[in-house]
Amino acid sequence: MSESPPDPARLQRRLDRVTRARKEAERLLEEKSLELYEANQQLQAHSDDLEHQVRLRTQELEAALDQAKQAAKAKSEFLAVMSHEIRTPLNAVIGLSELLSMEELPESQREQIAVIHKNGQGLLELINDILDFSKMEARRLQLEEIEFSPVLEFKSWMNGFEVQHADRPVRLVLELGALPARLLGDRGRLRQIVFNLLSNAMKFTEQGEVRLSLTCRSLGDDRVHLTLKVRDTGIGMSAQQKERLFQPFTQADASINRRYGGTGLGLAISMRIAQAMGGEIHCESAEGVGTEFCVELRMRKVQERKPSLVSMGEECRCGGTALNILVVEDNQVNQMIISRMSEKLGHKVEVANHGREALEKVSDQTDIVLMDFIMPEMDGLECTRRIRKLDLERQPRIVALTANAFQEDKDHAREAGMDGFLSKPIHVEALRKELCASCPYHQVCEDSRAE
Amino acid sequence: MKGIVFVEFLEMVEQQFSADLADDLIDNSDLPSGGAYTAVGTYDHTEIVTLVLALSQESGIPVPDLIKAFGEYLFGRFFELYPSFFEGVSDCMDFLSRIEDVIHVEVKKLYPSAQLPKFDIDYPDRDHLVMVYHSDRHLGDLAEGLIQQSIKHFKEQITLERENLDEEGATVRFTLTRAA
Repeated sequence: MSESPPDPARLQRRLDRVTRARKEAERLLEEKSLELYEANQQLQAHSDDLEHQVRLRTQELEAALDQAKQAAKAKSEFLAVMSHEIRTPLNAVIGLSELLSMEELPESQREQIAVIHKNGQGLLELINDILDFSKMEARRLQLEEIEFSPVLEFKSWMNGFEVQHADRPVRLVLELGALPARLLGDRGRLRQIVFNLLSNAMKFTEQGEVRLSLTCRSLGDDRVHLTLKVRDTGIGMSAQQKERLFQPFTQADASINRRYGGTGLGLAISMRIAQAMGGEIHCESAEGVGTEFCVELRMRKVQERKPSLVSMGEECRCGGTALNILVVEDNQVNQMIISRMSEKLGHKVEVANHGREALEKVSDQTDIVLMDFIMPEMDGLECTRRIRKLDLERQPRIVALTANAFQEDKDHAREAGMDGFLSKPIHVEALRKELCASCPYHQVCEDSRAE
Repeated sequence: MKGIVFVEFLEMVEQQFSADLADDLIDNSDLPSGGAYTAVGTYDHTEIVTLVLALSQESGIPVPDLIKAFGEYLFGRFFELYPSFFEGVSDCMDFLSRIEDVIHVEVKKLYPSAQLPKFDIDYPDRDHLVMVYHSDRHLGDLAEGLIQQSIKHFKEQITLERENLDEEGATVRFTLTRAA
C-alpha cells in the first residue's frame, strides 16, 4: 500500500486541509493577539488608575497626618495654657490657706483652713497627674540626673507621708537595706513613684500596715539595681483586676472611682517612669490579704562625695540671716503669698510686676530673685539673661517660680542663668530651704552636716 | 476538545501507520471540521471518537487499546511541548499528584475554554497514589495510557491498577503502588 504512487487527488485534499488549518490557526492567532492587546490595555488602564488612587490616598493621608499633628500640637498648647490657668487660682487657694494657718486663729477656723489646704493640694495632685500623663503620652519622658542621698530622701518622704496620713490607723514602716551614700538619678520622678505606690497602698488599706522597703545591688562600675517594694495588708485584687492595673484611666473596678477617688493614672505614670529608668513594676496580690508592688530600677551611684547645693530632709541651722529678696511676679495673689511668707521667715521683700521693672529694682544688695516665668512686658527668662549681663558687684541667686516644672522649662531656665526652682504653689518649707540655700552661711552649714 | 489532541492523533497515525491512512480516516469520516485541525483550535470531541473508531476498523485493533496507545504517545509529546511542567519534579507520583492543582490550573490560564477531566488525588505517602478520574467524555483509557507512559518516563517500578467505578467509564480509579 505504501509503495503505490501518490494519488494527486488525495494530495490536493491534503493540501486543502493543511491550508484551511493554517488559515484557521492564523485567524485564532489574530483573535488571541487582539485579546492580549486589549487585556494589556485594560491592565495598563487599571495600573494607571491604581497609581492615581495611591497618589490620591497618599495626599489624603498626608493631609490627615498634618491635621492630626496640628490637633496634637493644639492639644499640647491647650494643656499648657489650662495648666497655667488652673494652677494660678489653685496656688492662691493653697498659698493663702497656708499663710492663714500661720496666723493666731481659733481651733475651728484652723481646722477649716486645714481642710481647704488639704483639698486644694489634692486637686493640684490630680491635675498634675493628668498633665503629667498627657506629657508622657505626647513625647518621651525626659529624666534628670540629680545627686541625692537615698537614705535622707526616703526618710524624708516617709516622714512627709506619715504626716499627711497621721489620721489613719495604718502603721507605716520603712525598711532600708545597705544603700550607697549618694545616687545619681531623677529624684523627683523616683519620689513620684514612691508616693503613687504609698498613696495607693494607703487608699486600699483599712488597718494593718504599709511597708516600704528599698534594697540595692551593685551591677559593677557605678551602676546599681534598686528594688523598691511597697507591701500592704489591704483589700487586695483579683487576677482580673491585676491585668488592667497599669492601663491608664483604669481602676480595679468602676465603683472604686467613687469609693476611693483618684484619676487611675498613678500606676500608668509610675510604670512609664520605671520603664524610662530601665526598669519595671510588677505586682503580687491576694484578695483580702494584701498587695505588694515591686519596682526594679537602674541608677548610678556617685563614687566620690561632692557637697550638694540643695539640701533636703534635715534642718538647716543657718536661719536668722535677713535676706533682700526681689519677687518678680505679675499675679497679685502670688505676690502677696510669696511676700508674706518671706517676711514671716524674717526677710526683706521688694516686688516687681514684670521683668522690665525687675531690671530697675535689682541691685548689689539683692541676695535672691524669685522669678516667675510668664509675665507681660518681659518674661522671666529674658529678665534673667539681662540681670546676668548687668554690671553688679555681686550677682544675686535667681530662683524660678514654675507652675509647670517640665524638664524643658528647667533646661531653658538653667541656660538663661537661673540657679534653682520653686514649684507653685509655694510652700513655706520649700521657700525656707531655697532661701536658706542663698544664705551666705549655708555652705558652712552643709559642710558641718556632712561630718 | 483542544486541537492539539486531534493534531497529535493524526501525527501518531502518520508515524505508526502511514500518512495515507490518516488521509483515509479523515476522508471516510464525515467530520464537521473537515479534518483541517490546528493545535490552537477547538473542535467537537465526538470527532476524535469517530476517528478512533475509523482507525480501529482500518487496523483491526480494539478501540480501548488504540486510545491507551494514543495516551502513551501523547505523554511523550507533552514532555516535548511543555517542559516547564516537568521542571523540579523528582518522580512519577510527584508529577501525577500535581496534575489537578498545578498543571490543569496552568492549562486553564492558557486556554480558558478548555474542558479538562477532573482528578481526585490521594497521595498519602511517597509510595502510594490514588487518582480518581471524572469526565463525561469517558476517556479513562486515554488517562490510563498517559499514566502508564508517565511511569515509564520516570523509569520507576510502579504497579498501576485500574478500576471502573461506573459502567459508562465516567469515573475510573487508578491506584499506583511503588514496588518494594
